[in-house]
Amino acid sequence: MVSFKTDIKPIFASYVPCMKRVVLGDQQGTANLELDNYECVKRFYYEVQVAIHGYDVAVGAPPLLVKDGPDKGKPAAAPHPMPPGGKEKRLKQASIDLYDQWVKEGMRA
Amino acid sequence: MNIATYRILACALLLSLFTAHVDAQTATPREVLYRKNIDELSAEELAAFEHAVKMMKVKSARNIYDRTGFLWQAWVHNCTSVAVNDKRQYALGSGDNKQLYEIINQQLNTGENIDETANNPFNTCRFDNQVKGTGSITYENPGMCEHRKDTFFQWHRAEFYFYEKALQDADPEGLYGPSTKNVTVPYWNFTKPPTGSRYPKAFEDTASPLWFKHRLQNPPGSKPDMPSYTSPYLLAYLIYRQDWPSFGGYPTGSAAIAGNPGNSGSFESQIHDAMHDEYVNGYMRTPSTAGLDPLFYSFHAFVDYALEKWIEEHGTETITGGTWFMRGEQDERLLLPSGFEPGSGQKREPFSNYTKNMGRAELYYDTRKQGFAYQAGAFGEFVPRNQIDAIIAKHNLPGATLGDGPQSLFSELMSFGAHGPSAKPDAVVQGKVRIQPLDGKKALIDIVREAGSDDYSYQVDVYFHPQNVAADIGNKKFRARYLVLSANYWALSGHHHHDDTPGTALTLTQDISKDISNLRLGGKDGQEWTITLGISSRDNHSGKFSFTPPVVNYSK
Repeated sequence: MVSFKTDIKPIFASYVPCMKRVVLGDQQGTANLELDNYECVKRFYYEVQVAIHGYDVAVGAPPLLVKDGPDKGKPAAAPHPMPPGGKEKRLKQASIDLYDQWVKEGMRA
Repeated sequence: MNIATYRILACALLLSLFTAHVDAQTATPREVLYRKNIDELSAEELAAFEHAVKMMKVKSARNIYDRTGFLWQAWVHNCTSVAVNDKRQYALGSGDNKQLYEIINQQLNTGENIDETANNPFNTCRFDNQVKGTGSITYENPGMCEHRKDTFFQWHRAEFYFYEKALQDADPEGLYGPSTKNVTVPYWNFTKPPTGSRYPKAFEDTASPLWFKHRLQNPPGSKPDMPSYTSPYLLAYLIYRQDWPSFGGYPTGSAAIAGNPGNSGSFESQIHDAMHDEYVNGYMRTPSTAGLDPLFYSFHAFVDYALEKWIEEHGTETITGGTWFMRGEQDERLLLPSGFEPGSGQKREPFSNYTKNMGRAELYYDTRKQGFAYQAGAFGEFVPRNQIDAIIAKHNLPGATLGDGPQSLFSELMSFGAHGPSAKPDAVVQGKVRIQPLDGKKALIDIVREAGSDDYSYQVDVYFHPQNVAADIGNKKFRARYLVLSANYWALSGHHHHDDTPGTALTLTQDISKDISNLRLGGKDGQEWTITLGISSRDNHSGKFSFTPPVVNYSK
């Protein structure tokens, strides 16, 4: 089983200070995006997933179904793909796969 | 009925009257202040508005972190984060109100052109270098506008609620000029010819706090643009004829928008974006600086009036995104919206006299409950519905449907404004569309800019024409006959203050159901027509335009 502490947190480690300056809103309230905080990443898992899949089309990777089945929420493109700086900055495919696996397994701490 | 029953009924009646009285007291309805057309303000009203803007700028010059000041309010729109020192105090200069005002005004209007480098802290939201050495630095989150999603309108409405409260708070006692207690944000109806050479006169007075150097100007002494840039008929059509997602935007994860977390509605892409980028430009050219131009607020006040008109026509039940919280940190001492609660989470300490956000979007649906409403000018602000219905009916007649008549419905709607399709687009891309029944669904066109380029603003003109008709975009008659849509994309790069992010594809989705229905009325059912896109941009310095062939999706 994939866990946040041992598998996911290290993936985002170098992006924590920058992304902490961004506030996201949802139906609970608003919060800074703290990529080193389990509860926060769990809360905004979909926004994070869309962002890290934001370069899929650019690199020819097959888009992944992340929400509600076929034709819903395929993150083929994102207005702000992450990490910033172009497709060269894309996370390693293995890291993206690991994140997707973490989501699929229910986002363990 | 016996006496006992009468007594019970009488008691119940008295109790209900008493309860209603108590409810009325606790609800304390707010006095409704009206937002008016800026060209119809009295001299006193305009003076109070100008004084409020001036005093908000003075507050910012005294301390850039004053959340009731002009800069912070601009940052609520422009900036995800700003560097803040541990005293939460940084002045742009010193002196009395007059001197402070001149200092900030000079800094905002410096140079011949906007300094787009990191040397200009207003341009980048980065005051890090300025405040360095004044104490330890942390970051606060003024806000950041929402675009290309279903909360575009609502977020800006929330922002304007607080901006207006800051105006009223600028000098309510009138210690330094007219009282600002009852000031509202006057709107600029940009679908009418301007009273100045390009904007309302009040914004072209160089001595006014509303004046700003770095927006596009017409040559001095030139006559006003006639007609207005944006057609009032196109605006009215969108208001009367489009449902929420088509008009107001699509939510994140919408089934209608494959591969995209949300998308803009027609108002944002056909009207709002073009006004920002093409007509005003300057600081309004990008979302990360737009709030620094005082014109922005009157421009967006009319955008909000358009939302109010849509609500008047359609109600609020179908609006999505109402339960989402709107980001933006505001001064807690301002009068908060009725029913405000900030949701979960803790605030920073110290200096915690701020709101974590601006509350849920739906708080603002009933404007009167929040104490503001719109007052139409003497000649009305929107084209009446019956005029739009008459135009549509005319285009549904035999011989007048798309391709058969000399002017398409969209061309006619647009022809009342100066904004029109480009005769010489930078790029042309073609695809196919098969005309078929809608069966209660919509027809949406996906315009996809391919991955690999920097983010840039562009205009796309969409033509539907028979396959045996060549795309002669340079020919005015072709453009008038076959135009079904003209939309803009306003580049959002800079939002997060990273470098541009080349490499991502971008989809602009627009509702073209009216054209499919119109073609079917014209007997074109089952035919395959050509879609031609004419794409233009003055921001794409690479000169490369990569768009995929457009696709019409009936299944959404």
